[in-house]
Amino acid sequence: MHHDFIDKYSNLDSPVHRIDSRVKIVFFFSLILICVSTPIYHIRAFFLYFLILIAILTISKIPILHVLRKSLVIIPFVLIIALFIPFTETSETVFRFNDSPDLMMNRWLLFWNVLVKAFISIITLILLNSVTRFDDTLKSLSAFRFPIVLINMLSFFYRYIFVIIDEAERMQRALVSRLFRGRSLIHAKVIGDLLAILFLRSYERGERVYLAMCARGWDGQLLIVDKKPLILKDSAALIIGLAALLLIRLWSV
Amino acid sequence: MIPVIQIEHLSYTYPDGTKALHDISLRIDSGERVGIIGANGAGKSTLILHFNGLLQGEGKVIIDGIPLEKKTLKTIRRKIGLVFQNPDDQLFCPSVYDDIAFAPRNMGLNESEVRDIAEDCLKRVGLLDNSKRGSYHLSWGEKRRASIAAVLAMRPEILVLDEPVSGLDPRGKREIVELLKSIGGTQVMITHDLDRLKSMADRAVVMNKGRIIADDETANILSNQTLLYKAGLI
Repeated sequence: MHHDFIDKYSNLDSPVHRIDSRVKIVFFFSLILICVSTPIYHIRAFFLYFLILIAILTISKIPILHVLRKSLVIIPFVLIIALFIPFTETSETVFRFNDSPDLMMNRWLLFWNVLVKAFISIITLILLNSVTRFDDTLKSLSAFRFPIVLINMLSFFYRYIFVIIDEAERMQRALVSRLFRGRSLIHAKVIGDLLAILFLRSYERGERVYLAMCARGWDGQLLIVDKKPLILKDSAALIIGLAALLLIRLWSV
Repeated sequence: MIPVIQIEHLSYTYPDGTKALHDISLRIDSGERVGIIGANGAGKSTLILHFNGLLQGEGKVIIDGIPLEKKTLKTIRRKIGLVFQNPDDQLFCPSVYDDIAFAPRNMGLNESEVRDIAEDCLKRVGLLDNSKRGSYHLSWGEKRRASIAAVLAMRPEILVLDEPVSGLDPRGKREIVELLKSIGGTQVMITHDLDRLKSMADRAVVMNKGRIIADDETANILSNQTLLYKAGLI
């Protein structure tokens, strides 16, 4: 069965793909932090962040449609935040008592703030996963002393999420073949049973995976990865990238 | 000659009370290729999980002259290469390479030694070009070969396989049979595939309801229709 993999396109070859994954992680996370900390009225700064992302996108040969389609996942979250905006008071409006046009502007600005920053952040993350193989990302995280238990959990998650989705899909097909439609509330029990079975199967699979790990000499020690020093080209890329971000940020104080 | 696998009066009951093995005694010599056959629930998988102490029942298990107990577990697990039935249970790393490197890393080898072993094993199963892919992207046959490579990377003395050809198309089955032949050494495998048993094993052990009911040359077992019928194999 075919799924849209988390790190689709990460096996392409481009100057961006070839950069050390640690550099990419530092750069992309800095981009998010700097973008989030930029005051919203500096529109040109956000324009430049977008420009950087588009430049990386072009160099890395990743289809822009893929990134846009994936970025739609933030829409529900942004909408939820938008729902609460009428009840939010921004610092500029603390002393106002009625809905003046000015106040409405501030609320729109707040919404715009959330939308733009969320959008840039999600595109950055999609881009990171499109130019870095997931296992490389995990290895780099361990180089940054990210807790090894969490890295292992992410690693198992990445390995088995598709296996579980496949299993759920097969079960769902079997249900549909027996004329199950799942439209009404009565069917909630069937869906609950399906989830319970899925949980039990995953649990049992976990036990078998553990046995298979023991059979190959696993003794509770977690994966240790060797660290290579950064090569000159990668360090240069990192310095140039971070300098560009800092310049934009300082320019829009 | 010391037998590589020696099992004496082994019985095992699952925690829920199911009696899975009754008084099993088995001796396998170095270089033998043994097929374990039997109906579903006959106790075949339970038996092989005892070879490296993943399950421990009552009775004696002696591997390569070393009795299986808590302090010999590590040594024995290195000697027994256990290939599980479902490759998705065995291959748990984000990339095929990491899976092959798992056992050598557990053995405390350094990364360059690990790389040499991993590349050698991947080459032997014909997956060298796939080393960077995630095992999820592999076909079932490729996954099966990757699981075998993952176990070969331990340099085991005895290869134990749980249904190595199940779920494969005829070509996939032929490839596995040829691969196992080229690997050689002592091999124990569970199978339902009586057609291929002769080319995979010289000796067959028939299990039924937790007991060994026959143990003979493969050709003799395959010609004994009454026995096969009794064991639920035809």
